[in-house]
Amino acid sequence: MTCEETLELLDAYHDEELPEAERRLVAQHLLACQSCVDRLAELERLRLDLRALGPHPMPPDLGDRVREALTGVESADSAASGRWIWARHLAAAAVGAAVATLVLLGSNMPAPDPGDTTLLVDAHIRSLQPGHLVDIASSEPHLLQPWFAGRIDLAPVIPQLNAQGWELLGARLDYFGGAPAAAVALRRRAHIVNVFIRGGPGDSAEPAVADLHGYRIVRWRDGDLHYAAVSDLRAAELAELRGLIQATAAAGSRLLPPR
Amino acid sequence: MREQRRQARFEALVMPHLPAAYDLARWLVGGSAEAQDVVQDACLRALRGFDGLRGDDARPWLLAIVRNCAWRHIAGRRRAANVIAFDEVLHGQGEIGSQPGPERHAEARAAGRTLHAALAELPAAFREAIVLRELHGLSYREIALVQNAPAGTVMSRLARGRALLRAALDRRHGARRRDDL
Repeated sequence: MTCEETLELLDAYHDEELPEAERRLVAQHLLACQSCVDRLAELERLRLDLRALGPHPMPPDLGDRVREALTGVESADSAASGRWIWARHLAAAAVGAAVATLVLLGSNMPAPDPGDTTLLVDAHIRSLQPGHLVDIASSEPHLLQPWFAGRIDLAPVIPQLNAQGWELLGARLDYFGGAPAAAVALRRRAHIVNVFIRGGPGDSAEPAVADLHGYRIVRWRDGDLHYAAVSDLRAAELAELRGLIQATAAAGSRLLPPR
Repeated sequence: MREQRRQARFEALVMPHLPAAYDLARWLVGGSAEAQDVVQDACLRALRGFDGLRGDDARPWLLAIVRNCAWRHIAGRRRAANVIAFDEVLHGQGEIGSQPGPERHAEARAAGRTLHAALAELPAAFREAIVLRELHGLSYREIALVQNAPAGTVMSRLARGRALLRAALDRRHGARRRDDL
C-alpha cells in the first residue's frame, strides 16, 4: 500500500472502522513509514484535544422541565396519559436487572434521601466545568494515592483500569454534605465518570442506584469507605465499574485514624 | 396503565441521552436557551413518534430528531432575520460564533478556546460529524443514521472536517503545514 492510499484510509483506520483486510494493509504500511505514523499521531492528538473540550454541561433542571412538557402528551391510541412523576420510578425497573430491586412500589426499602443524590449530581456537574475536574492530572495510581495522604483522612486504593476502557484522568478533593470527599475522575469513551469516596459510619440508607437529571449514581460500601460513581453512562456500565473497583481493592483501602 | 408503561420505557431508553442531545443542540444552534428549546421540541416529537423506535438503542434515533429540530430552528431564525448570505446557505456558517455569549467567554482555557472556536466555525455537516464522533463516540453507521447520509459520506466529512480543523489551528498558531505528499 502506498502512502497516498494509506492516507486516504487513515481516518477510518484511526476510527477503527476499516474492514479487516484493509486494516491489516494499513497496519503493515505503518510499520515501515514514519511519515504516515506521524500523521496518525496528529489524528490522535486532535482526538484528545477535542475530547478535552468536554460536552457543554446540561442545565440541571432541563430533564425535569422536559418531563413536565411531556406530561399529557398522548400517544396515538391512548386517551389517558399517566402521571410522569410515577413513570420515573417505574423506569428504574426497565433499566436492568441490577436496578430491578430498586422499584419503589410495594418494596420495603427505605425511601431514598433526595439530598445526597442531588449533592452528588451537583458535584459531578460542577466538576465538568473547564479546569474543575482534577486538582492533579495523572493516569498513575502510584502518584495519585500519596497525593491524597495529608489532604484527607482517607486512603482509597485507586485501580488502574485503562486496559478495560476506563481511562484514569486524575483526582481532586471535594467537599459536600458536610464532609470531605476524595474524587477520582475517569473517562469512558466520551463520558466523564466521577468516583466519590467518603468515610462514614456503617450502612447508609442511600439507594444502590439512583437517576437524576440524566445522570446515574451507583453506590457501594467497602469497609469504612462509601463509594459513589456518577456519570451519564447507563447504570449497567457503572455497575461494571463498581465490579472492577471492588475486585481490585483486594489490597484494601484504609481509613486513617484521626490525628 | 399502558400509557404509564410507555412513559416508563421512554424514561429508561430516551431520557438518559438528554445530555448528549443538549450538547449536539449547542454545537448546532449556539446559545444555551436555544439549545434547550431544541431539546424540548425534540423530546416532544420523540415521544409522539416513540412507537417508531426499533430496538433499545435510542441514542442515534434521538440525536437524529435533535438534528432535524435544530435545522428547523435555524431556518426559522433565518426567516426572522430575513438575511441569507450565499456562503451561509452553502456551508451553514455563521450560525455559531457570530454572537458569542458570556458563557462562551467564561469557558475554556486558551488552547481549548481556540479549538472550540475552530470547531464552531466548521461547515455544519463537518461539525456535526466530528461532534458525534469525537464527543459522543458514535460509530460511522450511527452517524449515518443521524445525518441521513451514506457511511462513505460520513467518512469523507470526518476526514475533511479534521483536516480543516488542523489547518485552522495551524493558522492560529502561525505555523505552516508541512506538505507531506
